[in-house]
Amino acid sequence: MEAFLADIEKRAYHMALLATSSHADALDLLQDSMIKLVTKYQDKPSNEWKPLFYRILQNRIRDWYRHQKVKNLLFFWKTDDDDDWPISSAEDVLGQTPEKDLGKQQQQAAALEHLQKLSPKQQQCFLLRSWEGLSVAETASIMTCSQGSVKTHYFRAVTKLRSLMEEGHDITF
Amino acid sequence: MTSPFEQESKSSDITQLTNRALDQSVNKLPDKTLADLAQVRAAALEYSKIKPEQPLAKRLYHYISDHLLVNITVPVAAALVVVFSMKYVTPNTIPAMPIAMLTNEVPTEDLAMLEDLEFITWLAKNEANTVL
Repeated sequence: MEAFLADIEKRAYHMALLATSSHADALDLLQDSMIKLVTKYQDKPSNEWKPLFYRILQNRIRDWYRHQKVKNLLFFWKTDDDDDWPISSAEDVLGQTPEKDLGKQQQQAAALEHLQKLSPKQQQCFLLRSWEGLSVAETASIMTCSQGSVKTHYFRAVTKLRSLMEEGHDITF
Repeated sequence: MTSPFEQESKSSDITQLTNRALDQSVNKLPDKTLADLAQVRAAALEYSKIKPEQPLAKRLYHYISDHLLVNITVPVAAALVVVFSMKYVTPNTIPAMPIAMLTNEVPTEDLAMLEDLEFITWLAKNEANTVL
């Protein structure tokens, strides 16, 4: 279990960070998900841990969104000043690479930026399908929606990413 | 107008670009973040060592099923089977009335015979008392 958690924690943290845009909230969601997996599903076969873990994480993210909605309604006059985004910024990326790779690095930084602009479902669907390489059926099970919905979310995510990249950075795919 | 093949190719390009960006971002996480992640993992694994206390209802259910089920339920079930399978005949059981007696109309011959029988019985009783 420890090896599994060590392997998955960075990607899961990234998913949570993209969803919440807050390092502290992302860590909380990650910790809750790990605790639930360890306490309730440790006895399950190890090949089931990954989809189970992502399902727990998705449920936590969904709960976080609902909580945020209520919080924003009740405390609409407050502004969030402590949003931190430790994911490498374009400057961090550009500062370390040779000039010939600059264009590609800029594109990658832009892609990350646009990924944040997707709706929560489109974003998470893209991460699970494309980045994690899960099947449509597995993604549908994790996101507790139909396979048709997964395909729709994924298609819309990719279309939106492409149009944002083409518009903002004069890139054609 | 782009063909479906071209569309798919474009989608593949954008997904590959985004995935590479995500992978690079994961590989370049700051040390502080990595330390926080290790701490979160260690805290979660601590929970695996603590056996959570089961709720009272569950413990009670397990106690009943493990200890009392065989010792009590089986004898009770056996007793119920015996009780329902036996048919008691008590001295106070009233036998069913003949159907003929339920009718209001008693045939006259039978009535006369019943009266004679009643008289003879009374006579016999009194004779026995007189003799004694």
